[in-house]
Amino acid sequence: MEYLPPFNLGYASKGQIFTIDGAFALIFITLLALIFQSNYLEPLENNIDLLKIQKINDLLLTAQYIKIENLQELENHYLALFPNTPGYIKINNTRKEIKSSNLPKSKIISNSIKYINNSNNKIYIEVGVYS
Amino acid sequence: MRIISTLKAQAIVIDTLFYALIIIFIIFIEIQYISNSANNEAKLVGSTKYLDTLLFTDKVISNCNYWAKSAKNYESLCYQNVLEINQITITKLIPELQKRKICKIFLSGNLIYNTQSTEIKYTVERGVINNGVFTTIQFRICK
Repeated sequence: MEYLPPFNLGYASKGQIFTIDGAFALIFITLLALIFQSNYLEPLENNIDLLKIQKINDLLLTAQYIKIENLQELENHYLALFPNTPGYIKINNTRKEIKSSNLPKSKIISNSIKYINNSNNKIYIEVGVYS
Repeated sequence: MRIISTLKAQAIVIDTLFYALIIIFIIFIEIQYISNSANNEAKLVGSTKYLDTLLFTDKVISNCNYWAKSAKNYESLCYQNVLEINQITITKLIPELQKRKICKIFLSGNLIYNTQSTEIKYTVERGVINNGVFTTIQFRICK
């Protein structure tokens, strides 16, 4: 039997080099596919968040216009816009959680507003939504 | 000499098989990638249309030229999310509503704009002030 040398680029047959080239090509294409896939899915999630932000701003703007000062009224407005979404509302230093007792709070979208009421007092309102 | 030829032949056959296998894998992954790209592109188009609807509904409730209430003596200024709706302002908006396939609008649960379309794709709901009280306005988009 003739001596067969171990794998070495100098001695490698064309087939071995093709196989290695193919494996590299496969890895690169897989990576490329993964990168493109993750980039394409972002806009949909952002749009859903945008609607939540718009609704939070609705609550704040309307609260300022009708000069809301009690949590119950703001909670009713919150539930009208977010009937199933957990979140919280805050007026000055009083905070109330809505539908969020056992849920893990991973991401919060929130916004706040300050206005001066009829008695010249500063009112701070904050609304947040968990997702 | 014959043994070496057999080994070489075996090596060539195994190499060719491996190479063919890898080529098949590459083609399979490329086909999947192309099909995913096509799906994602369709999603992106849908997402852009949805974004356009969100921005349009926002304009309707906050722009002086649409349904936002103008300040007295300052028609170019208006109150965001405070509505002033009448039949004239609704009629004025019909071409844009049709363009975006908005088929029904409910204000405080009352139907204020309706078309023949019934198959609803999705709904955009916003919080507004109408006649001095907080209420919701629903824009229903049809197929």
